[in-house]
Amino acid sequence: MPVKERGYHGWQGSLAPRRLRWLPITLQGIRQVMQKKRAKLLFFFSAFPFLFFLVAVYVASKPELRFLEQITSLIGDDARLFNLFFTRSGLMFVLFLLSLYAGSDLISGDLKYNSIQLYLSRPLRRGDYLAGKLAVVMFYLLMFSLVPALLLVAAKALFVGGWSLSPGILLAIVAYPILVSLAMAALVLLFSSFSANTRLAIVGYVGFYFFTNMLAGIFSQVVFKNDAFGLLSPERTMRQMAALLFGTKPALAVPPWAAPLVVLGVTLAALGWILFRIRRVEV
Amino acid sequence: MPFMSSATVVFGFFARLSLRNRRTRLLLAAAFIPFVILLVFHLVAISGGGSRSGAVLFRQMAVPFLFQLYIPLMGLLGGSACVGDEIDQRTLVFLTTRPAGKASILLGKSAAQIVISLAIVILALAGSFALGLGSYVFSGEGMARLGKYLLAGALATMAYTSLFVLFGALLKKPVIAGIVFIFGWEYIVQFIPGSTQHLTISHYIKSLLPYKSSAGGFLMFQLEPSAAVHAVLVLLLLSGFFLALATRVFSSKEYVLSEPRI
Amino acid sequence: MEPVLEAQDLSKWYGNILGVSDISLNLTPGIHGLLGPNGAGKTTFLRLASGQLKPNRGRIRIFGEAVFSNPGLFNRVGFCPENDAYYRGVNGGDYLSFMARLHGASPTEARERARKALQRVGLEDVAAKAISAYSLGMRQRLKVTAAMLHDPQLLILDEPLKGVDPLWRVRIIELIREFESQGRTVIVSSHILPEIESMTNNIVLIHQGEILAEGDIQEIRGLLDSHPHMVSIRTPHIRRIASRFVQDNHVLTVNFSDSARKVVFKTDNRDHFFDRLNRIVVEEALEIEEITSPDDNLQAVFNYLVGRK
Repeated sequence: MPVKERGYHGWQGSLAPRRLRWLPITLQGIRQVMQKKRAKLLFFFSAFPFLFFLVAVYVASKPELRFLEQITSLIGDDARLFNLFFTRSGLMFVLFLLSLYAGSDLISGDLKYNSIQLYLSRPLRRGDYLAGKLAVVMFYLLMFSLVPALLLVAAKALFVGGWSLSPGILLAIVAYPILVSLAMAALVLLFSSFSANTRLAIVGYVGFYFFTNMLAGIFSQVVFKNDAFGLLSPERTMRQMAALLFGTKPALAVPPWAAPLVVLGVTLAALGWILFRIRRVEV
Repeated sequence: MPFMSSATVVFGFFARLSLRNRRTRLLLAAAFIPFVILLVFHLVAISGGGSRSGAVLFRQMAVPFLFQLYIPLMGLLGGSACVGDEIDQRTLVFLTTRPAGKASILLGKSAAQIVISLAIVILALAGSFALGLGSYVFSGEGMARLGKYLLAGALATMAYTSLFVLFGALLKKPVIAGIVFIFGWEYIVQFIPGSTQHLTISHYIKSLLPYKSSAGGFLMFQLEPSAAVHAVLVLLLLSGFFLALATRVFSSKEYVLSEPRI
Repeated sequence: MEPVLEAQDLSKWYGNILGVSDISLNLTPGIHGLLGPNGAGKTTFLRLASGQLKPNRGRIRIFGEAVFSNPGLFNRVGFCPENDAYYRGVNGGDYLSFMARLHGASPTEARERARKALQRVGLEDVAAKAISAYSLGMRQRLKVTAAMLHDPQLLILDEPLKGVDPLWRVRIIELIREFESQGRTVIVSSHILPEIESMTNNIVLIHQGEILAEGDIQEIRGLLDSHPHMVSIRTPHIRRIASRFVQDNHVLTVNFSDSARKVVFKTDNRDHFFDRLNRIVVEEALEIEEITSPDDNLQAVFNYLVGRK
């Protein structure tokens, strides 16, 4: 009988009826990010948008601090407050940096050290692997977007002494950061899956982010003078989606379904490509 | 082995390696994004769409893309890889246990990277210019203008690549530091009053570009641009200085091969 | 005789982790086995010897010259690293030609040297194939022959047989012996004791960054007075032999196995034991099938020294 080479093989057995198969991957990934150098420094600076708005909410609730009108006039109603927090406080850039920091080496590192085969030779599917990695990035993004937003909600209720949020705004406060985090996580993992070289992943993601912003500005304002080209920019698209969810005036004159469609399309395309990439290294 | 001989041998090997490299192919493709956009624009214009000339598109899209984004990022990727790749792939030992000085090894690799990058930038710039400005390219004025863009592109490539070769030799996280430099320092300094803009590479590159705008954006100057000759000299000197410093650092530093460099 | 490699109070640490500590060593021409478990400090020592690392304390010299930042020394030194590393997008022939050119060979000379080097390790048929397509064993052979490419006077090999198949292990060991027979020096490291034993009797035992022992295996063993020697005898008359030795004060323990027809003695005086054994065998006309000293090898020496530490 010939001796057969026995390398790693994809799990052929049945899967135990256990939910959250992706959870160990996520927990491991979260620990790894926390152990990176300067993680705490990055997290400290990432809290700044939230701290600014916390002060603003406090000031707005205090009649005796009305002299700081410049801050309070920015805020206005709840929809405007949270829209500004999510889209104009620098939070978008912070989330971009966090996604870069947490996600750029998640798949490229596995490609470099041939770890994907190790994962898939356990009772895990490709979807579990992807879900686990997505959850790592989303954990950190939500920690600095959804959690501070909910803390702002609580702070507002405490300082004002009552509940003023409508259910629609509350839903938007929860839905928007989840959608943004999912989209950003999918994008950074897409670039991470392109190559075993993490440097290439980082430069590619950064280049994509800045180039699309640049292109959107030039096409929409100079060349074609059409707001639809603004949707080339991830930032402008997210702002458009925020305006839709919070019911504020959108910056781009495009149909309301356009921004969510772009976000959904890009996210699904990114996830689809990543699954295809994982299949290529599967034994 | 004599310094120049070993540098030449290293140059030849890594230049051939780079040409077959997937990263080089990706960079080449990325460099032609403005060309493709210009091509699409022409097709749309022919079919009745579009509202601005190709020249404006070249100036306001291709030039900022290439000079503000592409060349610095390509310099970062390629420059930091001169040392970074040898450490990540653990092949540094193959070079340093041969009778070729570390300085000649780094110089040879950097030269290979710069030459390949120059070729890509020149092709992309010339192609985009020709597509954007059409027959104007063949006039004397057009040629002179193209020459200025190519000179600026070449010097920008050399300066950024040399700087990031130094980052790669010196720092454990050269890519992160490079991104902070490109999108932090070089961006923020534009808004700082005084002559701090002289402390950026982009100031000197902008001084060489034929078209200067005070209306804002990439080509905005807070200061008056430097004289062209001055800008050329500074960029050449900076390139030489960064490379010299990089070889000095590389020769005296020890590298632990198990630590990946991002 | 002038030492080829000279280390004096050599120490290297990585932050809080000690690589090697106070190593002093003089190696003369010949084959020297550097032996120790994983993490002992062998690779750190060899990286110091090959100029990849700078000592934190002490010094290391090869042919009387400092190693770090001395590229000219590598005209006479060849190094084969432990890591399975290679340039992607290059074939074996081009890689070796490049290495030869770094030694000053012309393009034609370099190609010829590369061809011979590939032939030496049986890779001439795959010269045009990308190194990334080679098996682990083939890449290892490529590294070994690359280290020998320029006929160095000192060859430093870090785990040269890792991943190599049994046939080529024998061949590479022969190559190393041939190399040494031409008056050159080889330092070869391994954590696999039989590999070292098959190449040389001169060993340097290293453990936790320090040298435990250095010299001939037999001499080191002989110096371990505190450890009794084991003698294993296979014979149909195990109980008769055992009974003759049980009362001997120099015999410390006796163990035997009827099924294996073996009796194993531990003695603190080997010479006395063998002397007595000879007389007993003659007097009683005992049939002896085999006599061995199970601990008279590198493993036992190493275990004793590590255990002692």
